[in-house]
Amino acid sequence: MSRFLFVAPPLAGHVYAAGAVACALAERGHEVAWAGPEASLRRMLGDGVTVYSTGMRPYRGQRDRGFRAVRSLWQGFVLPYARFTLPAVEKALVAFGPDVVAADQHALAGAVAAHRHGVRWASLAPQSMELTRPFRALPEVEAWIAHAIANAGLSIGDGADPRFSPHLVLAFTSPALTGPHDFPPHYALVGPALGARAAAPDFPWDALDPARHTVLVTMGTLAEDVARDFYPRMVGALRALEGRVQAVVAAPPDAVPDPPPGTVVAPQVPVLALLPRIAAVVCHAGLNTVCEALAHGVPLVVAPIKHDQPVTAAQVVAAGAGIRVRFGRSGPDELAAALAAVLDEPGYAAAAGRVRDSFAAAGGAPAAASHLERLATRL
Amino acid sequence: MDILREIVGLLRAVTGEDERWAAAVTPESRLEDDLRLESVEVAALGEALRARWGVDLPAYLAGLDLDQLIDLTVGDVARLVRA
Repeated sequence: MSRFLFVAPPLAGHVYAAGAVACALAERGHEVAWAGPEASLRRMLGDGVTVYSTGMRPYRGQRDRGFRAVRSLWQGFVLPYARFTLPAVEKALVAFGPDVVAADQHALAGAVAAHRHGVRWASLAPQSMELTRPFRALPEVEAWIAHAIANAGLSIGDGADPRFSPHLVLAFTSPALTGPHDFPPHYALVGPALGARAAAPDFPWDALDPARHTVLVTMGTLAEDVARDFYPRMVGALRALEGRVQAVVAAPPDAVPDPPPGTVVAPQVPVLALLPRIAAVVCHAGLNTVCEALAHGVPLVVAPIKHDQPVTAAQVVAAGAGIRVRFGRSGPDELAAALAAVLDEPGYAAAAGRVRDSFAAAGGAPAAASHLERLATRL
Repeated sequence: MDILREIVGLLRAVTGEDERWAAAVTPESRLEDDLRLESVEVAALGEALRARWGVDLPAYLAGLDLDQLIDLTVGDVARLVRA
């Protein structure tokens, strides 16, 4: 049996995928622990996990978009978070004595600590930004990120990049979505790692109308303040399709003004339990949500907001599994037309089905667990 | 036609915005912070610039650093067209 230390930032799209892999390892009898902000991790992973708490300072909300969001993601979160948590992550590593550290690409302290202590480490890539080099065409931007990491004292070895383990990079997607890339041989694209989630006991299942298409609208956990401008336009689209579409909107009820009758608006939605009944998903193109939808063969309308979301949205479009709209600008008519198209034109669902099959073949959390097991026991 | 006004016309076409929006665009308007262009709209603008003047916007952007990309203005695009 081996010991695995997971290091992830306290963000749902990052923790859930890593959590599913950790769970698969624990079920095989391995010892698993986490290093991160304890309260946030426990809220997503439950009370049964071992957590070495790192704490965290408050970070400025990530309201920026576009290139400004690239700068604020690194300067405002990833780098200060890595520097703040690094001493606690090192202590956790010494106390737990893992064979392998599984470090999220945006929790750089895991990679740096593992390297300093001579422990093997794997990178977890739960989003598109660090995987397919979306800034390949903008060399100055790639160089800026690399310099920012180095200037923060977070380089490892001979200037190696703590986002990319030389041993194993686990990505929760598949080539059916990323498109063809020359991934190095130590990259494993295992598809989405979908694990058990906290239940949403109050969800009004009886309110779902079997005579209409059920559509899930979810704009992500980081988007609540910026999405307030999007929901009124989305509500307009839902009104236009009211006769045949019933929406479940994952949002605080006061953020969604005057939705058509029968619309379910709830801050917590049991997405995985709901997806088998969903005909289409409207989302911000966060990789986690996109993969959950595609793992169920559900086509998408994607309205990317920032970070890796435009990259993932382009991948959805290239795969034929959805339509991209403009989060900041598409009006009710454009949103309704896109939603009607993915519901009515069978090509979108067929393409989503092909991605679903590729995900199933990629193996998900069990495959990721097997890669980590092999890394732990490799001579 | 004045190159700036023509670029504003292309911006209107790629965003679907109205005359009033276009009238407020100046050389100092930043594509990202002021006009809120999304990446698909920047790509569409690049296509339109190439079709109209043979200008290679992606090659120009590839030479810019992160701060320059954040602060890119309509006037910068006009200078590229005139160059």
